[in-house]
Amino acid sequence: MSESLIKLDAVTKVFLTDEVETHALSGIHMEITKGEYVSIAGPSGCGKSTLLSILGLLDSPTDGTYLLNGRPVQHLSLPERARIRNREIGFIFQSFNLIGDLTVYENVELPLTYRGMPASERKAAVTEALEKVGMGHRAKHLPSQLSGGQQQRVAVARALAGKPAVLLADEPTGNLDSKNGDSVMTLLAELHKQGATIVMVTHDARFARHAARTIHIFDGRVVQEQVESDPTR
Amino acid sequence: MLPDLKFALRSLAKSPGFTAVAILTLALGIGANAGVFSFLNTLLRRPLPLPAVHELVFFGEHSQQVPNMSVAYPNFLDWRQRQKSFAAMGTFRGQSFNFVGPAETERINGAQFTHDLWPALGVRPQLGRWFGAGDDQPGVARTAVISGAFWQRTFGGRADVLGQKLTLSGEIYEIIGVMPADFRFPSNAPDVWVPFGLSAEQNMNRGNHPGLYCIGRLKPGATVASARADLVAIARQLETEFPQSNTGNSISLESLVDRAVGQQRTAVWVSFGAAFGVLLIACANVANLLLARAAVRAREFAVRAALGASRTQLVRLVLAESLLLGLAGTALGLLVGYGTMQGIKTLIPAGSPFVTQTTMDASVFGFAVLIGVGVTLVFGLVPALTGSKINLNEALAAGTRSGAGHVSTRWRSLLVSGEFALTLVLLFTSGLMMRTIYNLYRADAGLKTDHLITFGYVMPGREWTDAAKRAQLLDRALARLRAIPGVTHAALTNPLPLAGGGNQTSFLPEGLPDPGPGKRFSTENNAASRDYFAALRIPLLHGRTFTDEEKADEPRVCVIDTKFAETHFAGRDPLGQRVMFGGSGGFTLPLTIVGVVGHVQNYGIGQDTRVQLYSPYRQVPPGNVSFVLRTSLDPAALAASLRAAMREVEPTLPVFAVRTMDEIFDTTVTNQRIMLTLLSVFAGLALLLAAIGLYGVLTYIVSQRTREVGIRLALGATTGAVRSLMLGQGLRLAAFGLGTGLLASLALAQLMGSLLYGVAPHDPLSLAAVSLVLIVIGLFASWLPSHRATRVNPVEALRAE
Repeated sequence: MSESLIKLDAVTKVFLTDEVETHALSGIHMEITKGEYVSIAGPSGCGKSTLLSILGLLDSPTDGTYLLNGRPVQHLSLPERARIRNREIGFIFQSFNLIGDLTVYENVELPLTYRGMPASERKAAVTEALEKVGMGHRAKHLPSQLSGGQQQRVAVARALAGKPAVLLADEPTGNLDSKNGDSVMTLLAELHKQGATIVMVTHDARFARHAARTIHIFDGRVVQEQVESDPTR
Repeated sequence: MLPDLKFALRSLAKSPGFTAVAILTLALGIGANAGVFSFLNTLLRRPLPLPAVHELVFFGEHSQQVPNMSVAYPNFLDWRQRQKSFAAMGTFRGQSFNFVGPAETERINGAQFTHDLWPALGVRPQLGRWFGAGDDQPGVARTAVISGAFWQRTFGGRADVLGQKLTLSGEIYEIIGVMPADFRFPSNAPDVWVPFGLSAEQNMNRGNHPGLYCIGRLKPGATVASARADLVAIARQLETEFPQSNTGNSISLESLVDRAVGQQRTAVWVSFGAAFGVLLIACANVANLLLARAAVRAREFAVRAALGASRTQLVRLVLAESLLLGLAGTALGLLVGYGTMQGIKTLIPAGSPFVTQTTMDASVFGFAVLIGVGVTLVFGLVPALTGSKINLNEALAAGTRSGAGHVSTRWRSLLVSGEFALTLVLLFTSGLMMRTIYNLYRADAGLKTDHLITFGYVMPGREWTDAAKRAQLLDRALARLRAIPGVTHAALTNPLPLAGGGNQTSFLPEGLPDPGPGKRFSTENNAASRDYFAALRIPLLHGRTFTDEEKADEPRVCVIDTKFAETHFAGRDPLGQRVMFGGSGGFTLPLTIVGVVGHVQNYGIGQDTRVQLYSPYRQVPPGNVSFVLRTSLDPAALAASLRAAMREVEPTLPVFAVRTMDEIFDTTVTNQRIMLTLLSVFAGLALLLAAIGLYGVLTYIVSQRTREVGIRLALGATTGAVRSLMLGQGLRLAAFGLGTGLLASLALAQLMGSLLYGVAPHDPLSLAAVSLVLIVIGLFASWLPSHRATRVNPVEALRAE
């Protein structure tokens, strides 16, 4: 039996704005095993991004249990969450979120810097990650000098560089044209083949099918789970 | 332009917080400048209330031994006759008189003028006439010209004052003229002027320099330099003609303006520089506010541009706001400036031209408007240019962001660094003044000024020409003063140390040959009573001081100071040695040295001093003395008692210039105290504005970098790392300013050299201290924005995309 990496049990998330209570997540149960490629799909406003924020420890659930690598993480302190984000989780955002003033190399290096990794190790890790996404030749460029697809590749490299337990991708093709989108999806698929655990939020059914399993969310609840027979289609 | 101004007015009214902060900031900067400029205006344009004052020159004599010497009257007569540079010239000396008034005898200020000084000065009496050549000679009827203030005070401004009689120091004078109220020469509050010629006969010895100085009005085309050459040539002739008295003597000549306000010139310019620094900092802050405002208004500008507004039109719109802010800041700044000017006046000794001549006139008003509007517009240009540079697609699509963001941040950072640089300069210069004042007060003047009160006393006229009578009066006065409760020592001296005066006498150590004219030794020659040294805590180092037993008809004795002993009796015991007084007629009067006391810095700390010699007042009773009382009580509290005591001793002679010695010492460091106060206030203001500036910029930067902070947090940055990032950015700005400021400080502090004492212009301790202060302030100002950055919610920050 595959080893569980992420396990959510009755996770809820309630936002309070003024006097309005918004239930973004209402009792989510979910388990993701190591090496799995899962997509989370659903219409806009269904709670996908909130779920991803909780998975990425950017936010904490209002209620319920979140086990990451078998360890409950829902009540961790901010520094502890930052440490886990840095070491266990790699983020890929829809709008790339590269820092404009840093070069490609420095962007990829950034999470490793926070980890306190020695410079020589950082260099090796950054070079390896950039080569993996085919951006080694652009290391000294600024993000503004790259195309959208190239920027997303750099963002993937940044997520990979620290060898995280899981890659969380939030609409990674949302800001890309179809050609670049396909290219990024191919890259994620290759990473999955190499053993990476990937959780991807998307509302594009075409891209969702790249994952082995798709979890459908609606109104803050898991309404369906779909296993692809051939995710490479 | 009018529609732009209207819109700008409406726009500013809609942002009352921004508008108020900007106007207040500008008002502080403009006010500081207007206030200090009013003094610069006095310095440059009307330092003295005299017509065509820049044509007037002041001159005296100097020799190798005495660098600043008054003029021998016969020399003046020869200069006047032979000179070719002056349309008119005359001589004068300050003189105070015992005036028998209707109620009591009072001491009034005045001067002796030669008649030709009046046309040289060029101010006519408001009533009556000047005295002429016929009044200015020995043996004629005594005439006097009185001041407008004295006329009002004593005669109630009556028109029939002309022809009235005045009793001054025992002599009767007829009033022949009344000068205008604002004529103040040579002292700050003169009451009366009398002809010097009345006493000319007693001053015909060329070796005697009786306190006279000269004023000349340059002929058209003549300059200070040409006049100097003219008079020096005459001095050379007089050396040849009168070698005994004039060998080695020459002319010291400077413009009257330099004489009156020259010592304050550096202080005024440094203060003005400091105030201008504050204005620049204020403007940098306002520019920062405008930059932030331009960034917020990027979408509005984009819409305007999309509707066809040219870049010039957008620039004009922003500049219209700057103009309005500048005008409002100037209006309020003039009020602040008036307050600044009045505040500074309270620091300056009463009667200084900087008090009497300084007003907020049209020049100050014009200057304030010029710098207020000018500097605001210049600083407004940066936000105007950056704000109007728009990438339409980006700005309209993004809603609020434009391509100007980076440019704006760069400018804002540059401005804040500049503020820190200027603040460092101001802090450093005020630090130097602080150390100077500390050193001056800590320095050993050779005497102790605490618990001392002093007053002047003059025995004038024919009634007191008898030296024995003067000695008896002084004896009685000392005895009576000693009896005042709380007085531990009562003493007298002439002249009073630290009060600015000095008597110099030529002498020879006995047995040495006369080195000849121009090479003779000179000493400060003071009269003192028995307790003088104990009262002023001047240490007796060898031998004894005076007793009550010295007699006028006995061989004369004296006490010398250590500098005298080291200079003239090196390696020998000076006790029992004799010094010979005399002069051009020969050194025939011996004085036996009975004691050696410590050296006193009698002209003030850091001033040049000569060797000092004291004679017992009983052997040569001066007609003009200062009493000094040491008390165990508050010295100022003794004023009434000492006045009553002296009335008992001699009711016809007034006591005047009652001051504590601490007050007298304070006047010797007036320049430095004023500088310290002004620089401290301006540096404090600069520090506050720079801190606000840094806070503002970092707050802006944090808001600009919210998304970046969100990314960093998402990638695992701890709050500590984010805080360090922001603090580092703040400190980098401060450090860049510090570096620039250090270089500027070292360059500018050299200009203040003449105002410093005991501290080098590049004092590393002051530099280190103010750098530390600025770093702490930089940290303080950066802390809140940095803390705010750590509170960024990464989910929200990333969602904002």
